[in-house]
Amino acid sequence: MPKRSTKGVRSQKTAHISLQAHDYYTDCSRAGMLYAALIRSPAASGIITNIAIPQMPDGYFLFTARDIPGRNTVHTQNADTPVFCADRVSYFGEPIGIVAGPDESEVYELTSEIEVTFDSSTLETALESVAEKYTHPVIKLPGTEQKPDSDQILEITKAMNLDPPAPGTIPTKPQIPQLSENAGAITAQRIVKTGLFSGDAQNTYESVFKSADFDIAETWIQDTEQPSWAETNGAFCFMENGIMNIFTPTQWPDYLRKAVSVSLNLDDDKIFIRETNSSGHDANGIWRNATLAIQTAVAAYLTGKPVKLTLSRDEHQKFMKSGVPAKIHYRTAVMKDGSITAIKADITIDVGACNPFAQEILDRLVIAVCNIYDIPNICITAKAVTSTNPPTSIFPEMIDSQAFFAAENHLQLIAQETNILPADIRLKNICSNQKNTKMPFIFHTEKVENVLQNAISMSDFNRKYTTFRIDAKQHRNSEDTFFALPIRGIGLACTFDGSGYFGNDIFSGSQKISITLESDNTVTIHSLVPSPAISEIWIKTVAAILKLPPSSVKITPDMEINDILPLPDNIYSNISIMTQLLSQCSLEIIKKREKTKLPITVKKGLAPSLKKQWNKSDFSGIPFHTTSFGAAVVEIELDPYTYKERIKGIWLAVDCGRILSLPAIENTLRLSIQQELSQLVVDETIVCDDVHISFIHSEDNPGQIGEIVHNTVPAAFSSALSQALSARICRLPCTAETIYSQGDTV
Amino acid sequence: MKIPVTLNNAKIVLEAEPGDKLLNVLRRLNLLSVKCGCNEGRCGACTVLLDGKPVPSCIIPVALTRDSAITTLEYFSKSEDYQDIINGFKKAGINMCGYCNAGKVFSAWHILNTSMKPDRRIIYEEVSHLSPCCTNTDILINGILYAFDFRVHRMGVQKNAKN
Repeated sequence: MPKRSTKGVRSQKTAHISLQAHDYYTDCSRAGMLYAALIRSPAASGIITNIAIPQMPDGYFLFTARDIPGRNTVHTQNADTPVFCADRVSYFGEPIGIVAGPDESEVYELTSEIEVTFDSSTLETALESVAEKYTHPVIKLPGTEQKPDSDQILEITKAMNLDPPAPGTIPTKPQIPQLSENAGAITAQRIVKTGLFSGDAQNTYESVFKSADFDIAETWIQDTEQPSWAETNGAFCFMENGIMNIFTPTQWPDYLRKAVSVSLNLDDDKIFIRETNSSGHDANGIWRNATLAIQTAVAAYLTGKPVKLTLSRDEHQKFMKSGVPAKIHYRTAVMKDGSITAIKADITIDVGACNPFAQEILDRLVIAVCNIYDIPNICITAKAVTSTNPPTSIFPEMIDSQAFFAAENHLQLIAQETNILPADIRLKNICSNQKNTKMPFIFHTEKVENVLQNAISMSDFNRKYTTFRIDAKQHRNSEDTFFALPIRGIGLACTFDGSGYFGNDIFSGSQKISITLESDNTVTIHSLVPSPAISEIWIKTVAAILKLPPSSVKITPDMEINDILPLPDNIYSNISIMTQLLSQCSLEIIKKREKTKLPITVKKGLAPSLKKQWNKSDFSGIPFHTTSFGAAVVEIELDPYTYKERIKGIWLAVDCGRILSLPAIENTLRLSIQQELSQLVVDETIVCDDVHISFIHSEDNPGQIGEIVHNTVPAAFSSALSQALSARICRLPCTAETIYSQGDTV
Repeated sequence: MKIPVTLNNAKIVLEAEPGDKLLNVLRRLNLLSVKCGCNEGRCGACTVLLDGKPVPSCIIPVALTRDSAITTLEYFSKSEDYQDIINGFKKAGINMCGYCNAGKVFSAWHILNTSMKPDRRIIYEEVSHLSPCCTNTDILINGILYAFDFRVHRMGVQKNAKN
């Protein structure tokens, strides 16, 4: 994660605070600091009529929407969300106010004592509307009709903040977040049709599927979430010399500064943002953490004291969920030779109460939903719907994995139904000729076959797949449970990792970088300092081109306060774009060195012609600046009695262009695999000691690899699990109970 | 409640409620190397040495530490053992995020102190529970093995110097 130096960013009047050992906001403190906690809505909907406050001890404060000096609104993209809920609650746990005081435990106690009263008519209306759909003896309103039990009653109780009924009273599902079935507002949508589906005739749809040898349909859901062990979201704020100082793990300081300015009614230059570390994958750094920072800043501004708001682990997990649950339904027309002639994909994502980036997320899923396959007739309909779940955010590097999970598992299902090897199905349908393709999305897939073949041969996939399939049949028919052998399965997934998406100006807009060859022959790269691995790559790249020792190259974020970068930080550490720009700068310096006096500064940005490769209006073309490809094979073994899973091996083949630092890239992939294995089964970390990684030799521009593992491994894992259990594992994460129950029915 | 302890080699009396977590008490004393991670004693971010053993301070009520010796990374980082571990980590290419340092360093120290010649399996058993936030387990194991080499080398040099 890029780190911003305080040098040059701070104004003259800013405060004294040592941050050398305080790279995390939770480590910051000042004399007289107050701790803060949020008052959250106990119901998912309704109109607040009163907030009953206990007697506040001296030195303790409560602030709500009406105390905000400026506007009670955070404007992000085209969406407005309240800093504090003023009257109508949109989701369970929505912040209503903030309590601050010198003793942390006292603050939490006061928060729990505050009573929020809702307008009874709105609450009753909400209760009736859900009760009409699902009734049960546990919740029965007068005059409502009884209907059969439903496990979704749990959702109702959650929405109404009632205690869930006792176990056994109603059928319960595993603890996997449910997609809201309530049809909420559609905040974004995208429809893509090609070939025979270009028209609207319903009979065309049916005739395409009827004329196929196989008509295969299934729904896939992926909602994996990395266990959160890092610092929880929050902020530390204080006023000093008329400057509001904000220490928080934001990834978009420019946006945060503007948002605070609007809410506090303070000028931009009176707000100093210090980015603190955000460890792990934190999607909230772009948007959602900003609301917490504003809430803290309001408390600090009104009390005149330093205030620290740190979410509890429980709050963080409940209300700051970063992922967006996606449900993807496929219907495919497949011929006997394995070629897919038509695909109909319906994508629904639940963005919670709000997500300003819903369109971007949806578009990326649409691009990924057919993966790299060449299908002549496609019909993709995608929509983002709101619900009473907390708002969600965007993690630009990890958006499309859910589409890959669905696509690759569906390919495995097709292989099973058609009795063709999964590898052959993929090779048959991969888009190998971009000129003749009917796909609206173009990828340079020349080396994909190499990647796939590499993973298949490394893992001996074809032999194992066939053997395990026979084993699974025998296991199903066997009555001998005493001498049962382990149950095995193997899965394959092949996906891309696109970086520098041209469809959104925020995330692919105006990346620029400049470097200076100084008078003493040292080189300065003017940029935020990226992660150690990317820093090493940049320094090595520039040093090699300019034929200088790496020690003479440094990265310095020497910016003035007004130069605060307009885009989210992770944009500036995009390895594929920035490394290419750095190489261009270095080559330009070589040209100028002969004729120009030192120091020489060269600045380069992304060429506008590149962005034109993607046609925004008809949603077609080359969507990414660079694309890496990866194929993963996962072999799994289940204990025949307990169905406890064990991964016997993972084989990963990657084509990511020119490799700038082999140890760094390998470490990244291995770490990603380890992190991925901790989210596939709820509350379990699967162990794999046998990981093989191979890279396809290439001199193409370097590509990102951050998402390769996230895109391939879950899909390959569930395919392997499906084979082992002779059942379809259609959603991730799964639970130990799901695996056991599926296995027990075999 | 007054709880006498030896904290970072200094005898002090902690003022806290008996049920307070050791983690919170230490952080109140500005010992910030102790971080709040999973809060369930698994991830290692809050590790301290309690009477010479690495323990997760997030699940230890402070009352249980009465008359114990507590060592945090702030004090431990002045020791030669710490230098060996950091040198080993550097040699393996480990860049720690700063949040999980205590867990990784104290686990490494425990292995170096309790095993005559640690092998990958022994190390794996000790470190596999740590959060994979910034370093994969394979590289961490390499780092601990390098640290062992540095430690043996340093102790050899010190022994020779004495003779």
